Amino acid sequence: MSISTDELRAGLDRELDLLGPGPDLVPTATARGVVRVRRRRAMAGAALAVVAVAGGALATGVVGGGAEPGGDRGRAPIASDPSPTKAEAGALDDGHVTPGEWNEVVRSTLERVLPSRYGAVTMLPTDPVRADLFATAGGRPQLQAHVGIQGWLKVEDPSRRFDDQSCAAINQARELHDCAEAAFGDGWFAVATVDLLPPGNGGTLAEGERLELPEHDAANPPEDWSYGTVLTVMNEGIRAEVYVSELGWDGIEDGGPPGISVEELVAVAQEPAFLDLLEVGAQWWYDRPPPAAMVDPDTGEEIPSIEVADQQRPPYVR
Amino acid sequence: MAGQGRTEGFSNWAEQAQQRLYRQGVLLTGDTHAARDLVQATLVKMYVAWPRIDTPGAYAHRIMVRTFLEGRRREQRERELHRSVDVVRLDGDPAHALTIRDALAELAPRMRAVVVLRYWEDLSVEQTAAALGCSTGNVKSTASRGLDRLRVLLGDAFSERVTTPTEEN
Repeated sequence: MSISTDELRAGLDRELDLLGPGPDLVPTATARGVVRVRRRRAMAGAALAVVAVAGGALATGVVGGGAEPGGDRGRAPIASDPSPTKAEAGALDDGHVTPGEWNEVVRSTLERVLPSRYGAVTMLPTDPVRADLFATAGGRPQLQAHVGIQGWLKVEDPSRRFDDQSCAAINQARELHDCAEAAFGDGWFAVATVDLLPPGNGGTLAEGERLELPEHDAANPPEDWSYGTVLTVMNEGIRAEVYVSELGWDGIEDGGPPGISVEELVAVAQEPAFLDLLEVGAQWWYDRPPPAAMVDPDTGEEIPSIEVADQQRPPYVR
Repeated sequence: MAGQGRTEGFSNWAEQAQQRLYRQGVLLTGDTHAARDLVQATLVKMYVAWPRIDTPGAYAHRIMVRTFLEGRRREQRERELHRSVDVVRLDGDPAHALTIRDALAELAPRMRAVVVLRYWEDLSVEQTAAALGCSTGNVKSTASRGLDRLRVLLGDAFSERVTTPTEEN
C-alpha cells in the first residue's frame, strides 16, 4: 500500500470523525433477526405456496381440483400397518399428545425411517426462536428436518381439498428441480420436490403482510433463499409436510439441495412408522398450544395472525 | 461461531463492530440516514446467518456491500420508472469545498464499494473480490479507475498525493 492511499484513508477518517458516533443498532437488529429466524423455522406450507405463486401458479397446498393421482380418497384413511409403534402407543396412551410426546415421536420416527446413512436424530437445542427442528448426526451431510402437520380446516372447501399435486402439474406451475410421487395404501398420496425456499415466508404471516419476491433466477438464487427437499403426504383427513435441508440452511453460503433424494423421501412416506407418526400428528394438531404471538420489533405490538383458530378434528382413525 | 448462543454471540460481535460498519455505511451511501438503514439491514442478515459464520468481519463486508449494491439497483429501477433525477454536479462549483466523501459519492456505486473496501478498509485485492463476488482483475481495474476519478474530482489538493499503487498498474 503506497503512502498515497494511506493519505486517502486518513483523510476519510478525519471527515468521518466529524460525524461522531453512530446510533446503537444492535438491539433493533437482534429483535428483527429473531423474528426473521422464527419465521424461517416455522417452515410451514406457505413457503411452497409462495414459490408457486411466484411462478404464476396456484398454491400447492389444498386448493384446486385436479385428477386424483390414485387411490380411493373417499374413504376414511387407515394406516398400512395396524400395530402401532412403541412411541406412538405411548404418545396416545391418554388420548392426547403433549409437546414433549410429539417431539419424541417425531425424533424417533425420523431416526427409524430416514436412510440409515444419516445416523441418529436429535432435536436441536432451543433458541430464542421456536425450535422444532431435528437434526441428524453421524452422517454427511447433516440434515435438519421439520415436520408440519394439519388436518383440513373448516374454511377449506372439501370438494377442493386435493390439489393436483402430481409432479407434472407442479412442473407446469413453477420451475421444478426434481420430483417423485407415489399413490399408495388407502388414499394416500406422497410427492417430494426439490425447491428453492424463500426466507421468512414459512411461518405465520401478519395480516396484510406482503412478501417481497425477488426476480427468480435458478442459476443465481437470492442470497438468503435455499434449496430444500419437501415431502408432502396427504389423504382425505390430513396433510403433512416434511422439510429437509442441510443443517444450517438459514445461512447463505451453501444453497444446494440436501443429500437425501426425492425418491428416498417418497419411500419414507410409505413406511408404516411414518404413517403411525401421522396418526399421532393428527391428535397433536388438535392438542397443540397456539403458536406464540409475534411482536413487531418497532412498535412492540402483537402482529395479528391469519392462522385459523377454529380447527376441526381431522377424521383420521384407524 | 459455535459454542455461543446466537443472540449472545451476535450481540458481542455487533456491539464491537457497529461503529466501524456505520462509518463504512456512510462512505458507501454518502448519507447518515441511509447508512443507518444499511447497517441495520446488514446486522439483521448477520443475525440470521450467525450460526454458520466463521469470520464475521469478512462476512459483514460481503453482506454490507452486496446489500448496498442491491439497494442501489432497486433505487435505480424505481427512478427509471417513476421520476427523473436531478443529478447534483459537484465539479464546476468553485464555492463548494469538496470533501473526499463528496468525491467518493460521485463514483459509481460499485466503484465506490471497491475503493472503500480496498483503501479505507484496507482489504487485499483477493478479499475485496471475495466480498464483491467478482474477479481480482476486476477489482484491480476498478480500483485504479476509482482513484483516477477521485484525482480528477479532488483536483490539485489531492491529486499529487493520491497515485495509483504500482501493484494495480
